[in-house]
Amino acid sequence: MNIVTRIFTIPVSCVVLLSSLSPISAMAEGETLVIEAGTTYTVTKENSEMFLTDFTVGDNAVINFDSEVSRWHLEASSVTLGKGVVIDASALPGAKGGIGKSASGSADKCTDGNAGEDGTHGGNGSDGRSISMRLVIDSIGSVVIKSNGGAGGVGGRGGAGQHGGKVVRCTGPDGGAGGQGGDGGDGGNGGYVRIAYSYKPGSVSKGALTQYVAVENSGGLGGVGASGGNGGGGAEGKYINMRTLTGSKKWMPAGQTGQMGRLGKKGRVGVAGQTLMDRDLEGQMNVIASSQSQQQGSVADLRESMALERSLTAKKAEAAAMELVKVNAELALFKQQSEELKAQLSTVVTDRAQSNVSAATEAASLQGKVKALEAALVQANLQLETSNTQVEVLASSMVAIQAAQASADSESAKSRKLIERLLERVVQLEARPSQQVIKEKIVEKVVQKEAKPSVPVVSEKEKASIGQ
Amino acid sequence: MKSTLSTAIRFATLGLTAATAMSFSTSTIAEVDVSASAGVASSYLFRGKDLGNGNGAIFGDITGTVGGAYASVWASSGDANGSEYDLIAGYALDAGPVSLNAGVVNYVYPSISGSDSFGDLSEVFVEVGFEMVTFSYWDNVAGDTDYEYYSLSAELGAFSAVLGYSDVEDDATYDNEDYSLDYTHLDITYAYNDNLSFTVSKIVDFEKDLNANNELSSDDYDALSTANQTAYDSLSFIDDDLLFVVSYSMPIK
Repeated sequence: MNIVTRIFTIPVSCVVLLSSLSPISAMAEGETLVIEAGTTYTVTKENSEMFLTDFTVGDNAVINFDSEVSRWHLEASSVTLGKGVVIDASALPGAKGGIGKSASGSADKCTDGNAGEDGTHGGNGSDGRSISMRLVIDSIGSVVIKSNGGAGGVGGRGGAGQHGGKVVRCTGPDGGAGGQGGDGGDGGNGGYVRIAYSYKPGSVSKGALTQYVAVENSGGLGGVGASGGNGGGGAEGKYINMRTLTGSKKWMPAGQTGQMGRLGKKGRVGVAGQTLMDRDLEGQMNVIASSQSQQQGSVADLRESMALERSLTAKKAEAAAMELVKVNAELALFKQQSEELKAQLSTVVTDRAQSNVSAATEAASLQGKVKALEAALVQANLQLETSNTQVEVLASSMVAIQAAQASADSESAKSRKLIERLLERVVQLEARPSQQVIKEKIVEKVVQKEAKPSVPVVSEKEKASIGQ
Repeated sequence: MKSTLSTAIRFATLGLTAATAMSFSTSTIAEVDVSASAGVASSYLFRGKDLGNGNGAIFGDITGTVGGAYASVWASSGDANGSEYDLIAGYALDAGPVSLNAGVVNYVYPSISGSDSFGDLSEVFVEVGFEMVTFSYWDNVAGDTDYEYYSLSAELGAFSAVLGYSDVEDDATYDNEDYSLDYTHLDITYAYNDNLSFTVSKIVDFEKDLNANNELSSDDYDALSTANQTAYDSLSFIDDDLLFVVSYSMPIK
């Protein structure tokens, strides 16, 4: 794969990854994955796409990948990551190039050595694994994501050349050339890392994710080119018996050593991977929607509570009305008793001629009754005040309820109308002159009794008491 | 006995030469390795003798090899007798530590009558080696003088040594006495590198006791009779001075 092909491969994979991202709300109900602290979890091809509800990784845990996994997609709606967590998605290095076969031994007599075979090129390093994550983070310590491209493989060393053949009656044969060293493989491209994140409400972690996550996705180093094979040794020089000007011995020159193989070229460095760590707006929207849903539930609860409160208020108002009815009944009874007392007083006046003792006794009895009536009046006033207080409380509660929810005004209006009617009735009750009439009648009767000698004198204190 | 051995070797050598010729006839099939060289030397040293009277010489050679068979042409500016070229053919065989080499060499001196044609002066040779030691036998098969030459040589790295013995059939006659012309020499060569070599040579043994090997002064020569002067002139005097030869050769590929 040449460099141009590698560069254009990244965007294509990015498109594939991005298209695979689906909103958390659309996730199937996921599982919970807990990786204990200090342990290692291996991602296999079967779980290269994970949709989790809870994802918890303990301190110093390591996540690595099977060799056949080229990308990993993770979505989790509640993420807890400890300190020192390592996600090692780095690629594997390229294979080493094969060593060229050496031309062994020596060539035939007076023959140059054969060249060694060339070493094969090192394999290209694999690309770093692509990682895409959509996380809703509850808490996060420190995470290192490694998705470096694999280093290119080292080229194979060239084979050694063959030694030159033996000198017989020839100039020394040269040694064979060494094989060319294999080129180093190209480094793999760094992996594509994309993290779309958001924080759960109430999360202690906040701010840019880069302060918690370090990404290492540089391109792999190019493989080192191998050295060429050594050239084969030339044949050694030797004397042969031959006609010369220096006697019968001729020195036959040695062969030249074969040329050393060319050094293999170093592989290209891989392209650094892309890193994207963005706020997950869609996820945040989902969180907000969820929060609103919860708030809506709270509103419903509040409405229900308000309805209950209204019901209680109505019951209290009804009880107050009943109390008022009781008061009215008591007042009516009191009125009746007053009428009866009046009649009795009339009888007493009519029959005042009857004995003074009995009149005094009756007067005392009447005074006692008057006191009882006065006590009943006091109690009735207290009840009225209590009723007023309750009505005021109810009124203020109703006002508060009206302020909290205008939509519930219809019920409240009814309650208010009822309360108003009750208030009116209370006012009417308060305005009714029955007590005053009774008091006047009583005073009048007493005055009439005082005008008679048999009638006991009512003290000023008693008048004041009655007058009250 | 000697004659029988010489005859056998000659036939064997001729057979090898024929085999060499047959090998070259199939050279179109087998690959021919050709090597050549050219050089210069401060003296013309041949079997322990300075044939150039102290003068330097140049030389060149070209050799074709097919398998073990080879043919070579060696040429030189020559010795005191003029320019020279040699035609050599042979067959060499290595079998582990043992090496065999046999062939024929024809010396041609274009300026000398009787030696100016192919086959006028020829030798056959056989060499048997074991490891670094080689024994050689050379026999004159054509030419005016019947002689044989033996050598025992050894190589050790850049050094080589040759102990040669020249056996000449005919004796020199001087003052009515026959004098042997046989001699023994020792050459030691050091190859400084592939091009430059140094050789020292010394005749270490010959019939010193005979007066024939002592050069006469001009007065003594003049005092000789004409017949003795003629006999004296026919003597091949041996110079046993130490010889030192420097040679520089370059391979031609």
